Amino acid sequence: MLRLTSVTACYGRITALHGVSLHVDEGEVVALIGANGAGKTTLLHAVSGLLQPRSGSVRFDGKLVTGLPVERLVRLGISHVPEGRMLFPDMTVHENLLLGAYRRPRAEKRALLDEQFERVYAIFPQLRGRAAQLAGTLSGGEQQMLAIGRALMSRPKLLLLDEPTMGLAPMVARDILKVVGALQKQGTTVLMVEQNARAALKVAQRGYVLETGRIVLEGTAHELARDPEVQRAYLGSGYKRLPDG
Amino acid sequence: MPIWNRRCETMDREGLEQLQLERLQATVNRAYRNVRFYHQRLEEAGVEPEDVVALGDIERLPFTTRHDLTAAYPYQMLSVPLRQIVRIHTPAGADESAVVGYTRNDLRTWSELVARVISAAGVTRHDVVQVTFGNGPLAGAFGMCQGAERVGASVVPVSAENVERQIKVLRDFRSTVLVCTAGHAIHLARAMRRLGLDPSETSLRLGLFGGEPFSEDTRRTVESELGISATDNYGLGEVLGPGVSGECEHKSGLHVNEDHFLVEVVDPGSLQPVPAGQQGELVITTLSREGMPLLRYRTGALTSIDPNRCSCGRTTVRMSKVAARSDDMLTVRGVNVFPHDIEGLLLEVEGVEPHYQVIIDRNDGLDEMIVMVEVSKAIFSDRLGGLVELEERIRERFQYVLGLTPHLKLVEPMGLDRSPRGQNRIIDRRRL
Repeated sequence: MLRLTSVTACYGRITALHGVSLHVDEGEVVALIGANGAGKTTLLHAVSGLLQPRSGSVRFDGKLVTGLPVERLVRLGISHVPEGRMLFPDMTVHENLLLGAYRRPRAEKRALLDEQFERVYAIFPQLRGRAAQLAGTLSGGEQQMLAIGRALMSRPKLLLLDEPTMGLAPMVARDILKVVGALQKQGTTVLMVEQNARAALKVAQRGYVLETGRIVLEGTAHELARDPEVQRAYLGSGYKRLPDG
Repeated sequence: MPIWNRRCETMDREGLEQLQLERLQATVNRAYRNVRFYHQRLEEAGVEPEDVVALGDIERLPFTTRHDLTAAYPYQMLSVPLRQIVRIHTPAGADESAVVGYTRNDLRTWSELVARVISAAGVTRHDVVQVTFGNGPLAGAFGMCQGAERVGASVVPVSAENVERQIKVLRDFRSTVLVCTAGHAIHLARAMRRLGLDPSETSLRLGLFGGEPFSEDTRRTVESELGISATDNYGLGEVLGPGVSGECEHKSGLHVNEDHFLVEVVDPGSLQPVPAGQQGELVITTLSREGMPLLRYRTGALTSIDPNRCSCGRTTVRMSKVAARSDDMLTVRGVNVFPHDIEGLLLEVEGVEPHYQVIIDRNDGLDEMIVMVEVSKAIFSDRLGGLVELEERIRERFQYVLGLTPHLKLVEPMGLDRSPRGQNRIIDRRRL
């Protein structure tokens, strides 16, 4: 469904991605793990159109979409839940969700929009009770749910999740990741960036390890979770330094 | 025949090539970062890892040879700390040792790939698989056993030494699959005949032969003698072991596990790629090896690649049976032997003149090595005991270095032809 081939991307003069290739098949949840500054967020930006790749190609559903503007990509079915959620705190939950549906043409039946609201509320029952509440007054977990819910309003085929559990209590984080699994069951494909590699590899089927803008490992989530290098660097397993020599 | 991993073995070419590129880039990134040898080689070649933007860019990468592995002995080629290596093999033969390290994931991948190869040959969990390879440090037997276990078959590892015991196991355990070298299978059949048994009356139905090349003639002989269907499979210890490629039921080339190995065929002289279908040296780049990634490893095996789709449903390319080599390596009873290894070990034995001749022949399907060596005047005119002792020393040396025991003939000084150096020193009488 999504194919990146040798994508290089820069912020000004700093190259953040050095020829990265990866793919996400339809129906998969793929995790992108790596340390801070490895280029994970940059990669999502290059997919969702927030950043123009300097070279390489991005294909979505077989079509070349490299460098297309965000709104075109949203229309094609790519929806991005950015790090830090980027909600409108002074608007209600309902209004925030409605903004996620902005691409829906006016002519589209009201019923369809209602159905979409219904779908999001079914996934996040907590939001239903707070539909009229201002987004800024929600808890961290609820805000994250709202951010994902807003992205779902455009009925994406591919959901890009940037650090969905950041700053959340472990219990809440677990709930959010459960939702990712549920979304997959409903047919949404997910590319997820996650600091919490252990949790991410539990939800995902496959993963990539990004290091200083380069992919150094690729494999099934199971393989990566067992990889000693991954365990040491990203899963925080006990690591005993052996004496040199 | 069942396809073990339908998703990987019948992938559309576009998806496969995407995966190959992803894995190639990750492999180059890791090799560059973790293996000093590759870091230097890539810098010398003026290639940065990010220069690999398409599969065709592999041609910009440097080759790796057996000599490079030897020079890196023991651990310099490993790309992970030794504590992550859970298995170490030393590839067959040769005085010049090389070390191949496997991580836990490498072992898992290995058994997966062998499972694919043996499934293609027809092995299922209902089979009793008798694995008969020379034991010791060779990766072949280990790999085949793990793969057969992965498939769920009942695996019986049997040492290659005692033929009668093998026959007993074959009959008592009602083995249905024989895994060994083709030569050994013929040897087994003839031995059964000598014991008054009919080799075609066993429970055997499949023979999976690897470790050494065999001809179509040999295949027909084994098939009729043992009443089995025989397939070829290929692998080499430096890269992984068995599991690189294997024949399916159509026996028209060996399907390469392309999601784990990127194969090229190059002209051994110019090292330029040859067109599909044309014979050349097989060059392998590992795509998933963690412990010891290899970039463009020159296997020395001569083969050709058939990119056309096979009717078995697999979408992977097929390599032709390896018939010859681009170097002077010989495979004797599954052990890889280079002439310079033989010369090296003979010269280390005191009392031996640097004049020798080695004849390799096949007797009852089994390889035999006959070594004729000139001995020094001093020893030759000495008492008989001296000669016997010398023979023993040479035999021990062969056993120690190559794991092979030759038939020895000590020859008086000047007893052998003085052909120009290197010529006719090694005569291979087998028709492979």
